[in-house]
Amino acid sequence: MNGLKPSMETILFNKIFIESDLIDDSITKQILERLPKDSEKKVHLIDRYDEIFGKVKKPYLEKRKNLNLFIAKKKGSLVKEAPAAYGLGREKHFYFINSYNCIYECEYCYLQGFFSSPDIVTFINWNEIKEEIIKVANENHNCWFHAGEFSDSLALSHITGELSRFHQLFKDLPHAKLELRTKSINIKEALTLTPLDNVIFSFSISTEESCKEIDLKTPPLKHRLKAIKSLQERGHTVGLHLDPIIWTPDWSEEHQNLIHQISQEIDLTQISYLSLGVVRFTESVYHQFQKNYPESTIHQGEFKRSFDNKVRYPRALRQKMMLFLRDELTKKGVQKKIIYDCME
Amino acid sequence: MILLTFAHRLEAKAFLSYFKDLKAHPVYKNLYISEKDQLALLLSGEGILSSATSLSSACTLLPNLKKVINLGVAGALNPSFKVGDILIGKIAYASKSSESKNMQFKSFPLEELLNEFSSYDIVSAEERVLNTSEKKYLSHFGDLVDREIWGLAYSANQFNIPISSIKIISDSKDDEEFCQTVKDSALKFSNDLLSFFLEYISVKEINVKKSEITDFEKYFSSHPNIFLTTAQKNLLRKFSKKIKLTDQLISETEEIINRHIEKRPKDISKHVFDFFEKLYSPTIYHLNQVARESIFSLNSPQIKFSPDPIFESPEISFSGKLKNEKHKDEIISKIKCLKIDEWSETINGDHLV
Repeated sequence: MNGLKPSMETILFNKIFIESDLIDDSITKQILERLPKDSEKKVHLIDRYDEIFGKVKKPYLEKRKNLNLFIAKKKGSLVKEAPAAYGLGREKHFYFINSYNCIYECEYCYLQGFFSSPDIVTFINWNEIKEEIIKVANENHNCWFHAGEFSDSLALSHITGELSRFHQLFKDLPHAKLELRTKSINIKEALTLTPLDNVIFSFSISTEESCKEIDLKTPPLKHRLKAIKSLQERGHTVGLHLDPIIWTPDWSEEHQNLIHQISQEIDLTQISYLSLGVVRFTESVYHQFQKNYPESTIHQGEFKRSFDNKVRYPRALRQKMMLFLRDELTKKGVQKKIIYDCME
Repeated sequence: MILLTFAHRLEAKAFLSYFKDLKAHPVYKNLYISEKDQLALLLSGEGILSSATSLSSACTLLPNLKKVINLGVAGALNPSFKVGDILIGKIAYASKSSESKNMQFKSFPLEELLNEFSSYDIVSAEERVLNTSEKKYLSHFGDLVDREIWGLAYSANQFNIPISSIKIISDSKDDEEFCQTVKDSALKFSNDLLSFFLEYISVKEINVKKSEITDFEKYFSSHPNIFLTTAQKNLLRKFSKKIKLTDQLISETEEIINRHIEKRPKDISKHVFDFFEKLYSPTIYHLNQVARESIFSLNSPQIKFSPDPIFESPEISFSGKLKNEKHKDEIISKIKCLKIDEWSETINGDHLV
């Protein structure tokens, strides 16, 4: 993968909070080794991450200059059932909680209204999370697991070292599937792993304009497409999420270009699934979005409170946009049966 | 007008001497006002409660208040700060009780004051003297500790007035004789804050800060042929977030106005707002029009049809009154006229341009 380095290879955390009883954990040591050299000076030992994280409302945009890292143990439920309309088919979907928050700054991101802090929390009690995944997988054959419900699955994997652990687990769980959802091009490690049919790398893709103006700090579209191509060539299973689809005065042209660019770079007949999702917000996230990004181009769209109280474009517009994209994708050889609407 | 706030008179001493026109308010003695300088000064007292209540009182007495700047001493929670450093506040946090590791959830972003300086988070502490473990806990949230900024920011937020903070470090992280040091050096700290203030802050510039009203809003709210109700004024503000004032918009709107120039300004504004509604929300405008033509037009005293009000479901509900056979026939014929499939297509975006 020449030239395709993670866009935030050196993550600069302001403070690194570590739960005292994890200081000697091998994963903690590994993470500290992978952070910039002076990171140990930034370490604050704490009893529990939730004595600090979430105790105060830390403004979301503080992630730009004042981002902290928490190395912690996840308590409570480690695996949760995903909401309806989450994936393709009738299998059950679950997500496991390996971290909170993301280094990227997508203007529509629901994390801005979900947690009261943008700080990154990485949960390193993998053995407990793993046990729970095995239990759920055995009770729900052919179910799906998603990493990255509250974070990007790959963006920090070169620091957390999670990817090889996930891979090893799902190698032994062929009756369950794992989706690693990302906007990152941090695939160096993935390319060294043996492809597994049940481990799917899925990429969220937006128009070139969107990647530049809205998906702040994320890799540009062409880099994401190159990363997908490399994974495909290595034999990995890949899924695509054209999500969120955002209206602009030139939305049809921009999305036509996007699909053209995708088809030029990727073998669309080899895509495992492709989801379409039009931009949507819960009311509280919409409020935060308006506050954080008053000048965003997303405001050009017509937002209304929808059937489920989420803020969306009117159904007529959503359906029109999705139908257009479906048509364009099928023209490029994507099978209709692998396309599904997300959260509609 | 700008309001400068200090916890104690000693911290404000240099300012009170420098701004000679500051006169004590006739009733509220801790508030000083200089009409000439468009400046006021408040001695807020120490602690979150005192600072919040005194700023609230000042805000009600100063109707033209544009900005609050808090100045004063703060303790360092960040070991890299030295006594005498002057720092700009970024976010105000507060402890409920640092001993029991209890924080106020709410925080208040402070308005950026000077781009050339870094800014830092401030925690307002509940207690005056902190032990090492309390300082350590607060250092997880902020770089400085004071006694009032959170309370001041709370009040300023209630009045929607921007607030900034300039702090001078009075004790380092490991200092234990906190109060004594402050008292001894208070005048020096006050002089240093004044020098900093005079060098970097322009009271005049803050007072003439540009208004946030858009050109679109300005143009149409003062148009001689349009009369706006209060609800329409609010709508205009909503529209102004998306519709920009361009030559084309002006010419299209003027054409609408001229077409209806014989009507009352109130009625003209209805036509203009209909046009804005179409620009602001074209899909909903289109759906409303189709609903008017193909659904509401069938309404009669016997039957009333109503589509889903948020246009999410293609279902059409109806209610009616039956008194005789004739009504029954009328209702049946109206229902037969309803083109449900066409409406369903419309809801699914089929006829959207």
